[in-house]
Amino acid sequence: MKKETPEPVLFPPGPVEIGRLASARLVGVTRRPGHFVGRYQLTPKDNAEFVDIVSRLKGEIGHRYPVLPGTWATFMVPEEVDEVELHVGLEQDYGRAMHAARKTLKVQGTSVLSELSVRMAALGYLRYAGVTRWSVP
Amino acid sequence: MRALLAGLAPRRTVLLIPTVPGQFLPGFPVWEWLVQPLRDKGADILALTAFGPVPEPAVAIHPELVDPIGDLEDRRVERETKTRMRAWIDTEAGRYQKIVLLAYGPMMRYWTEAASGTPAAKRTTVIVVPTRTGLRDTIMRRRLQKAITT
Repeated sequence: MKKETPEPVLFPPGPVEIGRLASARLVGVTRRPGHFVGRYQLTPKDNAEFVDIVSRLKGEIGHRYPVLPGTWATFMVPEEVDEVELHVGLEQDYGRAMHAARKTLKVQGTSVLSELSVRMAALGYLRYAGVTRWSVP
Repeated sequence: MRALLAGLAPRRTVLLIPTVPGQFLPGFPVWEWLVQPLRDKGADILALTAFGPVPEPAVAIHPELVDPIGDLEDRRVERETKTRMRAWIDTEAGRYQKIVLLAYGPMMRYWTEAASGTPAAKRTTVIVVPTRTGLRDTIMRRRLQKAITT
């Protein structure tokens, strides 16, 4: 009997290495009008430096920056957890197109959005926010 | 006012230029020599990167778009490139009546695989680079200009 391939999830569960800043682990997915948002908990690689970087992001916290087509990223501090999270958004139409593309091209993988995309979106956001030192993989 | 309205109107032609890390990127002399005269011709100019087609300025801001490999395996980047190109074709290519593609560099094999069998492939005009003279040939400029203006 042929083994069925499971349907891929939308966001990779991680951990995803965000440069030398932190590693990100998926803690939830929410649906918003027109897009899905993957919430990633960040585990700093160096606490003191992480706090320094986040304090420099102040003005940009919550600002969605579309680094890749159909994908945006931001750092957020949700009230319920009171710690910085990485939020990655995927437009619904684009997500559907990515899913269809993966099927058509027979691309393997367990998630529609790849770890590479999450990492790139996060690094792009940091660079946009003026943090370039940590963007180096 | 006219410029503002022109900016709001949907564009009908898109020029796709594949990037080659370290050799052929927005801001590089050959790229600028070739593309600069085409920027005011009313076509969208997109750089074909490992994350699919993106506007030219994005490459200057995010060089990782072009060369994201770092410590990653090539195969993961290949999968990403193909998927995102196909997703772009399925979501964005329909906005354009004409797609002009400069056939240059290793990115072409991903594009060919991604675009195969799509309606967008039928609307694509492929501009071939002469093997003898390469990109820095005035004939290339003329071919591209003709393709995006006619």
